[in-house]
Amino acid sequence: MNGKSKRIALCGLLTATALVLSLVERMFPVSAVIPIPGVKLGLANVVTLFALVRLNRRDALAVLLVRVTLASAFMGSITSFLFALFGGLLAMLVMLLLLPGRDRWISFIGISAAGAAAHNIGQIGAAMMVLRSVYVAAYLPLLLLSGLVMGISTGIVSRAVIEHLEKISF
Amino acid sequence: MSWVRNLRLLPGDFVVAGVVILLSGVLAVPFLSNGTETVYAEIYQDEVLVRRILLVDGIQETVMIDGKVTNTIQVEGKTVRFSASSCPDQVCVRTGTLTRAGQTAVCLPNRVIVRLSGGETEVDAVAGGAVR
Repeated sequence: MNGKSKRIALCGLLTATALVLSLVERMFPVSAVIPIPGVKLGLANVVTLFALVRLNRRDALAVLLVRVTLASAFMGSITSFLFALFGGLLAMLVMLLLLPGRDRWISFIGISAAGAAAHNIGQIGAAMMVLRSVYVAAYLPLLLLSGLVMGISTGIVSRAVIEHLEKISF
Repeated sequence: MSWVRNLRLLPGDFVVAGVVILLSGVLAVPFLSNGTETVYAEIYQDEVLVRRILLVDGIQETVMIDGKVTNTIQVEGKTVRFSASSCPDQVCVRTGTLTRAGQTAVCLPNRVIVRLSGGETEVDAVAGGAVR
């Protein structure tokens, strides 16, 4: 298989994986335990992180955009699309900036946690714009703290996944 | 603890965690102090705002509104209610006590609307609709 078709196949595979993860995480009613709207595990972040490590920036961005669009089409609304889009883009940007320091001064856990926090900030930023209200930001502190826990968890998962796949040079 | 060592954390990880915790603390401050708790009782007659009362703990006030009938509106702490009305149907009195921002009680014969307004209404709008 030549490089280009492998790349395209990998993009499709990652998008599908991210979508399945978004579906799976709906089965964990995290927001029942922590009653803040928008709290979730953020499993799809593992895919974004993997895409940033394994693909070039353009492909990683494409995977993100297609994932967010399809996830909203399947189970969201226009507003949730905007929230997820802003959150996803900001998370990707922050993780992209931190990735060069990988294994030197920051591990996947820190990168993933920063990505989760960025996702929350982007999400709330979009909500503030859509609803034209600053009061939405009242959610941010609690979202950030829960996002930190979720980000650390998905960071541990990301590291396990990425290190194993690098070992078999996937 | 070996499981902590197994995480192989690096300095940057602690920096990220520290920054996030600090940020959430700083962002929480404005909402803790002046807060979303400021609630006003607004009384409208013929769609004109006639009284606006800032509700704080311990406040007690009685407002009489005259029109075709007479309404007695009782403000008590952070709640407000129609305590009496000289109308036959008593719908406004039976509405009961308003406790949360966004709630309203209406006296149609007198064209009086009592409503609780405040910061929390906007946050409730998010919780109710947009995010899920």
